[in-house]
Amino acid sequence: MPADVNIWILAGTGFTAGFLGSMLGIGGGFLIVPIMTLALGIPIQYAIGSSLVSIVINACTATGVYISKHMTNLKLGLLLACTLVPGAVAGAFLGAKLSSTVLTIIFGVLMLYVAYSMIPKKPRKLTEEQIEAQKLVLEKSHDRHAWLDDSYFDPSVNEEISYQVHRPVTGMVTGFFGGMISSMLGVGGGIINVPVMNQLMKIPVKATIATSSLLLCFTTMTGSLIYAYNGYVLPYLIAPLCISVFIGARLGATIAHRVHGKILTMVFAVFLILTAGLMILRALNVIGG
Amino acid sequence: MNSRIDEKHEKLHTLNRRVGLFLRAGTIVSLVLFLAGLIIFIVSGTPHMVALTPISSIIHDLLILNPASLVTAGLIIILIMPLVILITALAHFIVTRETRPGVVCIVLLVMLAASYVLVLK
Repeated sequence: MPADVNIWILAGTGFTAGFLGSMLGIGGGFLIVPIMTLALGIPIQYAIGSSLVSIVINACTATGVYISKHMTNLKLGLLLACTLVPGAVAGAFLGAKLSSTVLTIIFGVLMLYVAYSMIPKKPRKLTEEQIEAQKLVLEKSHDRHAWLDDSYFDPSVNEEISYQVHRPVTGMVTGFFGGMISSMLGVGGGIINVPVMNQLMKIPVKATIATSSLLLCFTTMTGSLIYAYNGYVLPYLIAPLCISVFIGARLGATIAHRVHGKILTMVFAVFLILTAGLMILRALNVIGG
Repeated sequence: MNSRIDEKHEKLHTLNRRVGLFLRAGTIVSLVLFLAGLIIFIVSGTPHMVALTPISSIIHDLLILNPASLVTAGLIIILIMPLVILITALAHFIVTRETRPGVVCIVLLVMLAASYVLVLK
């Protein structure tokens, strides 16, 4: 552990992570952890602990805004949190026990997966019969959990969007692993929650992002607590990081609509691939550092 | 029928507004404490790589403006915010007599309590 760190690099990292994280809706952990370990030489457990705390701030800020606009499905969020929290506890314990090398390799592999998932793909084409069969299955199972259905006002189309929630049990099972990965690696977990809620549970993307923010509050809180208890959260590291993440996230959310999303996503995917490669090579002692 | 749905919606919106307000207030207080702690870290020459302050001595250390304690206090506030959401929601669902979301809140509360116990063990 270095005796001191460059506070400006830390603040710059937090600002960039908050800025890009809020623009891409994936949380800032994917930037914070590699930069803290690669550029500042901070052991990965301290980087993960700091990253989790900064994501709590980011998630609470975003949830405060989303829930006031009634975009968050609070009932669904609380239901999914019931499995996310145990997942986060399991992940944080694993993260604190595993060696830095193993954690770094897992982190690098996950970053490669995230980069791959960000590359736009052609949607799978279904036949009319398959679509009808899917609809029938969803309608049959829906009645049991109609209490989770919700609506929100979408100003971009100027209308109230009502939606049904499908496959909540699948969402809960997947949520356990989302929570585990989130606190084991110090990332938001939105990269798992968002596609599950949007694709599997058929929730509109805006409500998905808002509800995912609420989930992040619970998972990262649990993970942060465990890392803090194990001594991996240091005041001098989290203070500049959290302040700069907050400023970056607010700015990112404000100007998000002005930037071309595809270009930003591709640049970010390339960055992830390069950083993941560097982290894996360093963990395997192929390169020095 | 429609007026009942509207009433339910309105009550849920009240809950949303309340939770949003708590979250915003908590985040701002926490960030102010982080900023104060960081400024004192820089100007006072306190060693940088110190640990969080133990809860037992946090009030005493806050009074002498120990930067690590200020940051620890901010951290505690931000980490209890999800709990504030949960308790506010539980109180709301008890008042509106919504059984299923109420039970979900209680289960989640038990999960969180169990995780705290596990952490502190």
